[in-house]
Amino acid sequence: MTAQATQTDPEIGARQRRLRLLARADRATLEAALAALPAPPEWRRLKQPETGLTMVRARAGGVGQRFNLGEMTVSRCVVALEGAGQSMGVGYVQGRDCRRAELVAVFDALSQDAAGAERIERLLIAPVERKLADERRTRAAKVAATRVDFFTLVRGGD
Amino acid sequence: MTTTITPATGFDDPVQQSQQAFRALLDAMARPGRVTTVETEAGHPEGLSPALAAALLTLADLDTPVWLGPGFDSEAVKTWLRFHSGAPLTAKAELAVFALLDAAQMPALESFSFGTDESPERGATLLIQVPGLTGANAMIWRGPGIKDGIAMPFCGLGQSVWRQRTALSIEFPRGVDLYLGCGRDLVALPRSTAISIEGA
Repeated sequence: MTAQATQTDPEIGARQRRLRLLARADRATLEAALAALPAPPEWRRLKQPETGLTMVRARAGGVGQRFNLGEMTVSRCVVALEGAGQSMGVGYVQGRDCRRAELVAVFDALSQDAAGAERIERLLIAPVERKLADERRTRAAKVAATRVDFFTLVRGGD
Repeated sequence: MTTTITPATGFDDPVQQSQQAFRALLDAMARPGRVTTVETEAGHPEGLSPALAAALLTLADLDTPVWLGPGFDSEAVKTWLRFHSGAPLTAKAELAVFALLDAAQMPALESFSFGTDESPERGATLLIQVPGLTGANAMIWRGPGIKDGIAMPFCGLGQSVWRQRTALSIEFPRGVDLYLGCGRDLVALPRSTAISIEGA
């Protein structure tokens, strides 16, 4: 494959962000967003939704040797929109909900042109991002409420 | 923005369909010269025989470099094959494990890997799209899987190809295996089959 696209490419960065947020949206949110579209999209599946395992790799503390943390269940799907552009979208989600993977793929496909990306951003991506940020803040606040500061008396001068 | 081609669809149900296709490929290879129909249908780029498309989706994977011959090295075929099989496409015919060829534009058989005496299984498998599997019988195939002998037409492949294939017999167990595909039908020609051309 060619190395024409790297992660510094803003388009790829935007798609990574989009797919990251879509993957964390729950099914009800995705279905509601699909129903809210002015014209329901039609698509065909290039790769049928399927569930499998993927190895998650990590580095302890973010440095050092990579090791296999464990396998997680992932569902994926690839679709192409019917119509002139036939733009293609991919969806990968955690777990076994194939419908979610398919919907993520549809929204990714709908975001392939600038106008569509803008619409999906407003309709779905931004709300999901806000919701996730809220959840994170709530959790952080709960944790902060029970915070205990430990301190140690240092003995001796040196 | 780079223009991307949306690939054609592949198997709807990869697990079941690839096994059905594999069975057909196996049966065909076990009975050289017998026309086998690949019942299961895969989505495929225009111009490619469904039988060969199913064969490629079934056989090619990440470990098998595929060489696309003239006529098949289009973006549509490349994108489709890469998307569904993940097989690396090689520009060097001698590295290919599978090659997709058109009967009208055949490269020399010796441009492909014959394997070695220690590892004859490294020999390439050539998937050749032919205009037809019937016609006037012009040669006799003999060997394992064939009772006595079977009369075969040239199937649209040039005489020179058949001569090259005949000459390959002395290389056995090295050599190439062939699948001739037309529409949903295919015929296998393993390297173990000896060919005698009538009138030659």
